[in-house]
Amino acid sequence: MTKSPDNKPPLAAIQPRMGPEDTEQAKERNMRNIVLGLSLVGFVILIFVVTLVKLGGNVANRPF
Amino acid sequence: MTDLSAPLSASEVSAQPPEKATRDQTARWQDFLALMKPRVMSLVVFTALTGLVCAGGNINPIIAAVAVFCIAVGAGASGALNMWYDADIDAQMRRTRGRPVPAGRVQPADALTLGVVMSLFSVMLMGMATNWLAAGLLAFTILFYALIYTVWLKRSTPQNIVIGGLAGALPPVIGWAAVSGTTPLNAWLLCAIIFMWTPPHFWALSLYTSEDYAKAGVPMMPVAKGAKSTRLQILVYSLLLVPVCLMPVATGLGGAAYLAVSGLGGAVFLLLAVRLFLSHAGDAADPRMDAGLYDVRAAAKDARNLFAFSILYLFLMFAALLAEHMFGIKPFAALSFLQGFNR
Repeated sequence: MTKSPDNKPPLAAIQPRMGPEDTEQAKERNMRNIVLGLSLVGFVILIFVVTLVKLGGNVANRPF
Repeated sequence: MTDLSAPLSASEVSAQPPEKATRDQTARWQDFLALMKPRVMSLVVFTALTGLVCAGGNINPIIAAVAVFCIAVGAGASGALNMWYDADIDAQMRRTRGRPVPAGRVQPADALTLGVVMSLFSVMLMGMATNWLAAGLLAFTILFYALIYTVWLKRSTPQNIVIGGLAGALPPVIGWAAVSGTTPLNAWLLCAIIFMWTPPHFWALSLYTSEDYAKAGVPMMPVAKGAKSTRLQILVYSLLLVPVCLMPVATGLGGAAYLAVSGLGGAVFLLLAVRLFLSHAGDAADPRMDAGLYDVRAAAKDARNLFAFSILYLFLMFAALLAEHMFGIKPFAALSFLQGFNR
């Protein structure tokens, strides 16, 4: 096996070759992460909107 | 007689899975959505929305939408917890073996986590957005479905769906409480309608899927007591259901459209229940008879008819109530004296 100058094997030799199934799984994992991320953003927006509605208008003029 | 009411232990069931689970599959986001039983969720949303609209109070539309959303998420959380706990049973049944957990697409721990997180989220948000009575009712519904029905009743008694049906019947009460902060008689009438509707609905289904339940050791009524007893109980519950469905007219909750739908629909429901009672639906699948497991297709027609119509009946009644209250149709003035009981 060809070794790099710092005596470590090249990256390609360590990483398993990705087949079509792995690519498909990676795509599905990415999509799942995107949906999870969007859900978290939606959660933040939801709490923000509910807070605004519950506080009502003219909130800045309320006495402390 | 085989004691089918005795629940199978998890180890007994998992020792004989119907198909090998492929644990290296990556869960898709659709699998997590499937854990939340979207079809059940849609019915829950519809009945909760009806309760919310019938309450007639003054609620911000955004808060109303958030309340319905919380009920939907709570129902989904219950579904995820149910699928986590029942994975061993689901793997035994044709109808459910493709679900994400028994099929190996979602790890059980992930399903449990989703259920717990969604439960907490829905209850807390409901409390913050509306009131803590609605949040408490939502928490009770989730716990009742996940613990009382799924963990306890489902595997131990043929009355599982009768008592467990309360969880499915509560969403209109939660919707009502979200608006008004109270749960008057009319809210509980909506609950009673779904509660009484559940046994004939599920038992009609189980009459032609009882072989699946028998295989999984779930003591559904046809498995534990036989098809004939189940058909009789369907008829009895149907006779009780129709008067309950007519009661909203007396209390002023329902108007002419509701009376027409509940009355005519009730007559058809009773007709189908009588036909089912006189039929032999489920007999061939009765595990106590020497018959093949799957040769019930023709005989099960009456059970399938009642099952299909029961969904339509409930939908039409709630749609009529929703329409009447959204468009401001007044109840019968002649019966308005009864509304005094609803204060």
